[in-house]
Amino acid sequence: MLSTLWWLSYRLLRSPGTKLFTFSGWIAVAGLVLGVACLVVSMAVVSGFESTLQKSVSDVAGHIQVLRPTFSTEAPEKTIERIREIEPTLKAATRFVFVEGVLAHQGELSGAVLQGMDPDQVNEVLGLAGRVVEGKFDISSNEEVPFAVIGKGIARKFNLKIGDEFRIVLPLASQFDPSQFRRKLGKFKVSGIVDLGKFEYDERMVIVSLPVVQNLAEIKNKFSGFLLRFEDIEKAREIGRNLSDNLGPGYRVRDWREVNENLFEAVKIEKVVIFFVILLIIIAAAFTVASSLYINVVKRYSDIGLLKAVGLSPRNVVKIFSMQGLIIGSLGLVGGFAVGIIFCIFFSWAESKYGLIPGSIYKIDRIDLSIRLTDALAISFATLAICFVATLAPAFKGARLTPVEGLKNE
Amino acid sequence: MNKNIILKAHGLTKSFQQGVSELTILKGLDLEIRSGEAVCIVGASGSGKSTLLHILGTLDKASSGQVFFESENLSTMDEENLAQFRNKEMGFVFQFHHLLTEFTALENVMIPARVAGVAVSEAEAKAEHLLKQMGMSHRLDHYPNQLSGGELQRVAIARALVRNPKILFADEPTGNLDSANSAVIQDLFFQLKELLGLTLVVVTHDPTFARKFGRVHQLRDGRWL
Repeated sequence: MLSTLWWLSYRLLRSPGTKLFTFSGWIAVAGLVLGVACLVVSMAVVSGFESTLQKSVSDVAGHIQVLRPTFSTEAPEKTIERIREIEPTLKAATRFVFVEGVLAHQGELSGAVLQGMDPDQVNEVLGLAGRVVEGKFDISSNEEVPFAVIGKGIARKFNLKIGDEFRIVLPLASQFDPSQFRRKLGKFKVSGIVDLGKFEYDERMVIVSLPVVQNLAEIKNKFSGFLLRFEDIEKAREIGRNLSDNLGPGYRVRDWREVNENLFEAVKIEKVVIFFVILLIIIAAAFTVASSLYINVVKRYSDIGLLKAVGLSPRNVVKIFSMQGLIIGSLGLVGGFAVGIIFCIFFSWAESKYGLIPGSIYKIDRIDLSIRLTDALAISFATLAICFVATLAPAFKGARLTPVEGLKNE
Repeated sequence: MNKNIILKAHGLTKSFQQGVSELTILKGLDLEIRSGEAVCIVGASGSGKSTLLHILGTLDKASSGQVFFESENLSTMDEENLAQFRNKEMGFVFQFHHLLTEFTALENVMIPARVAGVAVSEAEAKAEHLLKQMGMSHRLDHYPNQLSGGELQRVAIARALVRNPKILFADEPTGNLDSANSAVIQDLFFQLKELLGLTLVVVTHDPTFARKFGRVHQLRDGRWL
């Protein structure tokens, strides 16, 4: 029976005497295509923004940061061993330390963050090697002048090239009077330039070997904590809680999301708001679907009368016209996804060629557009549900018609 | 009820509200039709003959009175059941062919069978057989706009017969045809009646056609004459 209803419903969408869809049907489809395409593109942008942000945060800060209590004297290997016991999915860990300083080069000054990490482990924890745009990721300190990897923003600002040397000045508090500072000068050689994906990182980050920072900042073998990588980034929050509960007093645990909590929360809310705002376009388009079906029902009074005369029940009349709404909705969906995806491809191309996003405003300077399955399902479900609701009024109008009322409309 | 009586109407009235006044089309009609009978209803335009046929065929509801099909009271059935009932037991031919223009001749004939849930292949075979019987074998895949008036009406008759109904209602079936085509269609009705053992209820204002029936009822102002 269902196949018969689909058969009737699809055929009755054609304009009389042709194999073509009715013109009003095409207009309804076109409205939906526009709405769906807008929704696909905007969701791809927001999801892309989120995942680009996520990747850049986890590439630079790992999945989880564990800050060590200042009083701790526990050997780092021992702490990592304890973390592994609590969370066996730990893949790699590196110690890290942050020191703020001023980068000075050829008469220019700018604030910088000197980040020291274990040169042997850093590449297993962070994805920095994959973000190198020039040179290579090398923070070894075997030569007289230690190597440093710098963000591309710093490289541009100071016009630094691979092999160039630059200085960082650290203010060190006096042992006798903490209100007094003295300057400590460190000299580094650029081994690589990285695109850290986030404007603030690119403009400030200088990555060097941990012992070099410890030496320069005169903190002996102290360090801030560990950056950790686990098997599944999505479980980071759960793992973070577990570590926080079990590592002992004084340890502070932050997952990648917490590092930029406000930003990720804002993106999440923004995504929901954008979804519903743009859904309004589809709702507006659904009115065209409803009016197109309404015209179809009125034009087909005689056909509906005949179908009822030969045994089509009122319930099946409702089904036939609802199915027409779903057919129009599905065509709108397919067309909308096609147009949306084409637009996304064009956007990605234009973005890589012309750099459309100013990083100083949006924190990141490019978005890898991503159409997620959950987004696609939400768009499809919402569109079909709206189209279905739009068909109900015309469909019930058709169902209420008595056979004889219909047949009089020749 | 007598076993032979297939259709019985009792005290049928039909009124329409026209502004403040009420217009009564049918005024308490009784009718009994035996199985296999050919009954013709004649009357002037506006005498209510089409309305009566629609009520007998459950396409319209009477204001009062009852219609029985064999032992079943059709006046108390709901729309869903009536639709099924019409599909199974009744065939209809109208003055205008009422073929769906988006469907070929063959597909139009298949519609009642497919609505009944008959398998596509079976419905197609049956429809094809009927159309061939009507001399339409060369027109199976033609759309209604490619067929002549006589051909359209033959397709409509095939559609009315595809479910093997017990009773065939025809409302002015030759009203829209020239005399040559009209004669062909009239003969076709009687051939089919004999061949399939149908009960025939036909409304017409064509005296030549009416004369071919064994039983003719005349309506005037909503009453039998």
